[in-house]
Amino acid sequence: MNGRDIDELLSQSAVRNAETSAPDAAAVNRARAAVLESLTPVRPLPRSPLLAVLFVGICAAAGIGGGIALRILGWPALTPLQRSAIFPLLAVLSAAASLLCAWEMVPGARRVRARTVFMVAFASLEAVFLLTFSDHSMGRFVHSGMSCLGAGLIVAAPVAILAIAIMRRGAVLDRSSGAAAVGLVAGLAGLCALEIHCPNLRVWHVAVWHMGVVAIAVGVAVAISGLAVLGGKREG
Amino acid sequence: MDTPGTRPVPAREQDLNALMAAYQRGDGNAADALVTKLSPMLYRFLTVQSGDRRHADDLLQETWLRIHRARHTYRPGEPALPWIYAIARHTRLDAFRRRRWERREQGVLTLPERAAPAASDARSLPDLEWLLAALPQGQREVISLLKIGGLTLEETARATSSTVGAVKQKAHRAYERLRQLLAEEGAR
Repeated sequence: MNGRDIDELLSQSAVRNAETSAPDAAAVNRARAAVLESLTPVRPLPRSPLLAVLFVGICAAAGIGGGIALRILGWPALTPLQRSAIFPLLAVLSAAASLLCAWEMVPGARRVRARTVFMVAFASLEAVFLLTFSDHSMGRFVHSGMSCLGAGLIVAAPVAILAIAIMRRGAVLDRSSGAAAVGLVAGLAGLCALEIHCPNLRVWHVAVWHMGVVAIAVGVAVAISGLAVLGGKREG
Repeated sequence: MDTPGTRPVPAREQDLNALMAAYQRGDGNAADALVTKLSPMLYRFLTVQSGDRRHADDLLQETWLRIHRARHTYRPGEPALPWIYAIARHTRLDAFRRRRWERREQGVLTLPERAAPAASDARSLPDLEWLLAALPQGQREVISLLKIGGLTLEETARATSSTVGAVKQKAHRAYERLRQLLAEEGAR
């Protein structure tokens, strides 16, 4: 048998299956009654690019606003090369993560996996930091790192809350993927704020603690979504 | 492998898209028509996935409730079938995980094997459920969407949150597995 024969066989079997397999009429009637009972007009969700603009707006407002609120010490310390490498990349990645959030809200619209976007974002940012920063010293690595991590997460938290509030307007089918997308948008906002604020240009400080904000934001969001799913199962 | 060209879909896709748009506007006749036209197809998809017809009836109702709650997320003008099947697929996945969780809570570690249909079916034209039962979950899902749902490769990729390449690969492997299975059956 070749592929064409298998294809033909499957098609014929599907036609026969359609003739012999039918749902219980009572079950269909119950579904119909449930649908008609609460049928009201609804306004379709805005297009994905529009929703993405909303997520980008929140991310940018929190990132820039957070950086200003924390004090602008990092921006003047960065070289023009570092600025032109970091901030456009952050903008592109925020747009990608925002589009991912918008796709997650609509069933059957997702085209890229959140895991893939996260890995690309993480790898490209780490590469930029490793290539454009040159100070490899480790002075006060943990102490200064913890304060940056805390500040970044404080900026990321409200972004995540707002993003979740918007995503609840849609129908997120894959919660862990949706949570990863939200975590990525929030984490990038936190990272943006740190790049504006933090004057510490040591490679390992930025690569570990600043990037830690992105990793932790995604990890916490996915963990919370997992716990919510687990809670749902326990409730039955 | 041949790309499925024919669609054993009871309603033309344009009609479905128009019905979905009317359903969003609160048109009861459109909602009624959608339930009537799509339920048999969704039921068959859920049956071959779960291997349990009674359970598929429950899943069908659950799917309609979810479709109803998510109807505002359908974009008028976009193909309705990937949207509908994405919801049906996740309804089945959630139910499967819930059942597995319940069984684990009760100390049963594995789900029972799917029952194979009567052997007499395989002698003439093999039963679709029997054919698909031999496939791993991912391949079974892709073939049922292509053959029962009548979706294109692109639509199947959207319904399964995957890529066209991954769908093609799964379909190719499924065809290889079925070819083997039918050769073994023929040799008996």
